[in-house]
Amino acid sequence: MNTLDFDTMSLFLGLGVGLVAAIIGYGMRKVSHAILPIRDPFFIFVMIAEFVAVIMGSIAVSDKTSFEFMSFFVSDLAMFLVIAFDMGYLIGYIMCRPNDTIYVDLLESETMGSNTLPLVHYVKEGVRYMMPQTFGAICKSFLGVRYPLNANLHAVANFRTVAVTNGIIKLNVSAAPTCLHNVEELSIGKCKIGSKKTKDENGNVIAKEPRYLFHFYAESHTILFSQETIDDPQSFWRKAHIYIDAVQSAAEAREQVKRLEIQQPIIKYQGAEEMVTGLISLTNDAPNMINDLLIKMDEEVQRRENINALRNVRTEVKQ
Amino acid sequence: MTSVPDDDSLKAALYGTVHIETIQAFETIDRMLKDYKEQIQAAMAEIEPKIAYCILCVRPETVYAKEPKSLEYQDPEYIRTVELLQYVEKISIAMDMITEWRDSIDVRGRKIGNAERSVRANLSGIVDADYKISINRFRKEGVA
Repeated sequence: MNTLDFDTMSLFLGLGVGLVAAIIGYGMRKVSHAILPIRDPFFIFVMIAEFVAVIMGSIAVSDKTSFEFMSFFVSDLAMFLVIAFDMGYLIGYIMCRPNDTIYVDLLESETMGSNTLPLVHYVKEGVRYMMPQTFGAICKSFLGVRYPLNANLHAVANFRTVAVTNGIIKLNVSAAPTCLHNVEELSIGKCKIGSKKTKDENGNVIAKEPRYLFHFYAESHTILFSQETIDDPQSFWRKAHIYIDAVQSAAEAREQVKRLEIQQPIIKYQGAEEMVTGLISLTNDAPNMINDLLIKMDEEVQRRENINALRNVRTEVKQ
Repeated sequence: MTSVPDDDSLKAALYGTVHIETIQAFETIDRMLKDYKEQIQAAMAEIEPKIAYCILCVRPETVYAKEPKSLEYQDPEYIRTVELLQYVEKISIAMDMITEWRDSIDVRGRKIGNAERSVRANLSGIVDADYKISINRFRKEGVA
């Protein structure tokens, strides 16, 4: 290999390639929805292509009889451009912030714990999908096997800070807590090869079931965010007060019902008593009953005297 | 030897088909009488005897007048005593009234029971033994 020898033209060429690569990387980040570029299919493809080109160039250099033009791939300029492209692509890729990632604190029913993961989402043809951060799932998504996401992301207002570590690096991320995470498996067929027809007794086709060459499996995720993350603090406390007030009102209503249940038979008699008493006019009914009242007063006085006498006896006994 | 049924069965024989409503009316009236009695006791316990005797002996018409107007009536203690006496008087009259009602209900039940017993006796020719016992058990002056 020759020693590195850059002229001005090569430098500008490398800068141009790097700039173009940065623009491409910036755009591909929005398309691939992969957080790390090593899971970006285009970048992987470019890397493989570069690797193959270098191998073929090396073969061409060693064996001069075949494909001599391929020896360009192992030249200084080609190496320089490749490095410029890769570096530019990575810089553009990382610089892009498509605002498609939200960290969620997903519940795990098996361990009774939670797992904080980045949730990359995107909208395609009016449907919200999530992009699993695996190379296979990203490739499948490019083939049309998408992962539907049923989550009201716009309702998330608050986050909580969660420490995430991979064993080496520890990061603090703002994660949205969840209270439900359901996963359903979907089978999606690709490459249609005719259809299975169902016929009735007369030979008429009543149903067609398509047949596919490949069957891919995808997952449909349903995520429900916790109440305190959906509400802003004021709404949360207001709802909490409403809840407390409602519970108190229910308890009071229950108590009142119990009291009424007890009073119901008594009220019936009280109403009858008041009604009967209301029928009576003292002016018309009672002029001759003065003796009755005097007798009652005598009895009352006698009762009080008896009580006083008993009290006196008790006092004497105590003394 | 004829066995004597319990009081409830005898009452059922006495009142015939109106047994239930008669017993219910008795229960209601008894409960009302009990409440009235308690109310009278409570009211009497609040009355000041000296003022009450004064009103009853000197000015008894104050208790029975619709709108008593006198100089003494301006005194709050006096007013309170008059009100309590009126209250006691009203309840006493009400007690007498519903006691009379109770008797009327009893008489009505006995008459209906007697009429039904007569019909049964005429149709079957057999005298109802329970009815006879019940008449003796719950004897009442002037009523069958």
